Amino acid sequence: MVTETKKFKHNDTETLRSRVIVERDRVTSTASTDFPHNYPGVDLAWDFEKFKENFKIKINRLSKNEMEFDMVGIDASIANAFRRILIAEVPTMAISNVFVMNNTSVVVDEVLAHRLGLVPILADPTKFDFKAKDETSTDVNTIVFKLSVKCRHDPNAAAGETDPLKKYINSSVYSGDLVWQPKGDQLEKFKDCPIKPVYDDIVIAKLRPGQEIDVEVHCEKGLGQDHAKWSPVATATYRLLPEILVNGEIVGEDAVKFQSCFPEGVVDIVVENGVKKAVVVNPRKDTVSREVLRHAEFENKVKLTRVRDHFIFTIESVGSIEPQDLLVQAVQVLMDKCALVKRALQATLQTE
Amino acid sequence: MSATRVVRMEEDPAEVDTGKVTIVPGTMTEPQCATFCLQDEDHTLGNALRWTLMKNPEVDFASYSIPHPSETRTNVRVQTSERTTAVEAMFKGLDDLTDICSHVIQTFQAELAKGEFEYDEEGAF
Repeated sequence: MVTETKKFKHNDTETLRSRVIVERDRVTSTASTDFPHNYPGVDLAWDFEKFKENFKIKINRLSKNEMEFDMVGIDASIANAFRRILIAEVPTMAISNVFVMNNTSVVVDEVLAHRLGLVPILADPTKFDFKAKDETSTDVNTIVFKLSVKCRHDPNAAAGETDPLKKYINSSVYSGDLVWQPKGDQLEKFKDCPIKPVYDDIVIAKLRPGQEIDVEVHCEKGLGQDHAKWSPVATATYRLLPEILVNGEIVGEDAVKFQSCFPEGVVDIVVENGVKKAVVVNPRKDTVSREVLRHAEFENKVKLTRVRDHFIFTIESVGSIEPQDLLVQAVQVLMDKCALVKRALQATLQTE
Repeated sequence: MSATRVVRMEEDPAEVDTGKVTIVPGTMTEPQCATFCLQDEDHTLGNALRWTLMKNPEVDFASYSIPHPSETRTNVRVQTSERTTAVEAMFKGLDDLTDICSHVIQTFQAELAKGEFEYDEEGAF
């Protein structure tokens, strides 16, 4: 993992083009400039073959809910489009209508409806259609759940019991109490993966003896841009790969000080001929706090940059769609957008 | 006005909504320049498309703007050299963006199939 210590020149064109420069009190060279005619003698016209050569994806970690991967060789405008789509434009299913038969809990109807809406639903959105405003509910655009819970005293509870969970039955209403009501051929269609809330232990309301909640809820397909409950991710972010450049060598007590300017694991101290020397080993771990730029002894010796086209992406799924599928769906959404605009433009040109 | 529309609908029932993309009136003084108005699009497509347009050496100028924050539309301005037209450049920009997307999906799926990463069955890290 030991990366060689790179020497840096003072802001040559190559650096300005490929790096974002982090200075003590500002960040410079932020905009990408890799367009044709920008640099004499450099052909920066779009070349798909060149793009294919340079573009790389490396998955670092994957779990049921989270994925971290590196995306290298792409412009921020497109990486950002992926991020934006992940948050706002990948469709999911969420509760959008709550029909209240009875609600005598302390949670008022509209708050209850809002809480229910935010419960992530485990259902494949690709198997459903969007429901237009004037359209009636059918088995291809709506999922129905029933939630009917009544609280009462537990006859078997000990006399002096004070814990509501033991003293009463159904003192808490959980997402797991939502019972799916399959409609049409839904039971057959989803027999391998029955529709349910992603988590069964989300508290929706608390009840006391005599109180009850009896509601029917309808889930519809939607987009995060309409309401956050339809967003398939808890968060989707990226950061640019940090880079630490050192001119000359940092030795002795300075090396120790240099190391302490960075988070653990970024800089190692090696002893050569009895002299301590600082070596940058893992700039990826750096938070780019810029602490190192505050000290006079490192002035003109160290330079902090970020690699402009190296994105460290993190996708944290809410649980309804696995993170590796989320990225593919997001990119697909962007492709569909292009296709739609292209067709619409063709249609507009024909009618004119 | 509405009558002609009905006739058109009958000719081609599968016609796409022509209101999705329009050319802003008065902006196409010659074929080499135009401002396209994309309905229901935002920075997501606007900025990505701007980048692919600017990558085209025949494009002299490309930019996008959202004229008003509470209207869901994006304007894309394109000016080109004599060797092409704004509409052609727009089509090329869209095609290039599509190419990028399909290559991203391919690369990602190939990487996923390799399985060279830390995998944790349970929840978060």
